Amino acid sequence: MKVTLKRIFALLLCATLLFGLATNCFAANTKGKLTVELNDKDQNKISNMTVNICQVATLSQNGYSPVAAFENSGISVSGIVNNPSEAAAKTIADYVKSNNISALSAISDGSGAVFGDLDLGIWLVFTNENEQYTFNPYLVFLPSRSGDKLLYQLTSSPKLQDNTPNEISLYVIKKWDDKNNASKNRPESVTIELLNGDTVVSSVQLSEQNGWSHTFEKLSKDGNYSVREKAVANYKTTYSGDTTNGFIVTNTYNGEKLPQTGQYWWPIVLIAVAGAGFVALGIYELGVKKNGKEE
Amino acid sequence: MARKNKGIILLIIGVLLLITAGGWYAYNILEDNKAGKQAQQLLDVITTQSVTPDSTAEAVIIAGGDAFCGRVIIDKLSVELPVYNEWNYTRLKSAPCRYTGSIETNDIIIAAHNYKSHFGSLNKLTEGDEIKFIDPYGKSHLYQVCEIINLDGTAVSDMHSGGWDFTLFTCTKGGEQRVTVRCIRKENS
Repeated sequence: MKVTLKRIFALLLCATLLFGLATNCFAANTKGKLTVELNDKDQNKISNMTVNICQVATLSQNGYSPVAAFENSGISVSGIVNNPSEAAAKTIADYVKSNNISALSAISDGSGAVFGDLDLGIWLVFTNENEQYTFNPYLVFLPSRSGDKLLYQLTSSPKLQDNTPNEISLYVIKKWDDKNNASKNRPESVTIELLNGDTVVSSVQLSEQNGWSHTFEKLSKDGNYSVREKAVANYKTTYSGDTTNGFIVTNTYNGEKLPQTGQYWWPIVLIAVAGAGFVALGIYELGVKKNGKEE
Repeated sequence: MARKNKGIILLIIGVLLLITAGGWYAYNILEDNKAGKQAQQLLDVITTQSVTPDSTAEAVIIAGGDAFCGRVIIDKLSVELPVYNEWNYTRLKSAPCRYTGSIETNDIIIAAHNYKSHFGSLNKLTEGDEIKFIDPYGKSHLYQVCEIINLDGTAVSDMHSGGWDFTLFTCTKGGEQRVTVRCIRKENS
């Protein structure tokens, strides 16, 4: 029984000391700094992403107090302190957005998004919804405790959610470099194959009817796509573009010849001469027989 | 006996070859005459047609379900022929066709078969001869022959080069080359 009472007393003592450190033992005039590191699932650093922070409460010798924008919000600062959960952060973030409460913004670079010269207190960290990457809003206490130290320069690394659509579309257009089909050898249609790596995943016939273009829809964004044209006689094929801007398949005419605008007369002469020769030979053979020279 | 048979066989082959040559010759003559008549019929139709000026498109005369960009007149050869707006081998059998270019941009090239009734006598033109082109509005464009050359059938680039105002071409009798007549615009009429 005595041992149990001693343990309870020791715990209460520790809690009192910790609360004292968090509230009364901080450096009141110190400014804080927050760095939000932004790495995707492959640990690539994400740049040009906007991160916002909004102060929810200030910290004084008397403890945390809501800033003016949250005084009538119904949000309990003590509740946040006791349970700084993700749900609480989301509630505050919704309130900030719906009430257009001003926030500080920073655009990330290779070091992340950095906020300096911050007043001490509780800060909400959140992103814009239209970013390619987002993270769930969260709360940061400035200063924060690490062991028996109070940290005024904090670094957080929220888990990023990639909002890139899972499906993409891929546009392909055919261009002709043949002097507006001067040779009249342009085919009525061509077949374009869509490849993912080395595998043909789709194909389409391009013609005047579809404007020599097509959009391949609902493709996995993770594919390694390219296009390939089935060979077109008398045309050389070149490819340009990419999956983002679409592919251009250009056919350049390489079998150019002027129109054939002549009747064929020369074979007539050859055939006539050959015919006359055969007739002469035939007559000669028959004449020899008639003259009785054959054995 | 064998020698007699041999003589008969040679004679038969020879006669068959002569018949083939004669038939081919007759076919060419008939085709030539037919092309001349078709061209004349088309000419009769388009000379009675008129077009309404349209700034959005190059004017053409519609006749027999096909489009014509005008007619060409070569007085020296006693030739007056309609000119199809676009060429293909079917059209070439009945009249000259615009190969590329236009009157407006001073780079028109007209192709025609070497039928006697079409451009078969093109090689008889000489420098200084005049050629007229009547556009769909009835406006006459006068050109003067400056050069007559034979180009290879594959000389597409050469055919388009030189910056000539007006070019006519047809096949030589051998069919491998093109008799090409180069002209410059003589005046605005």
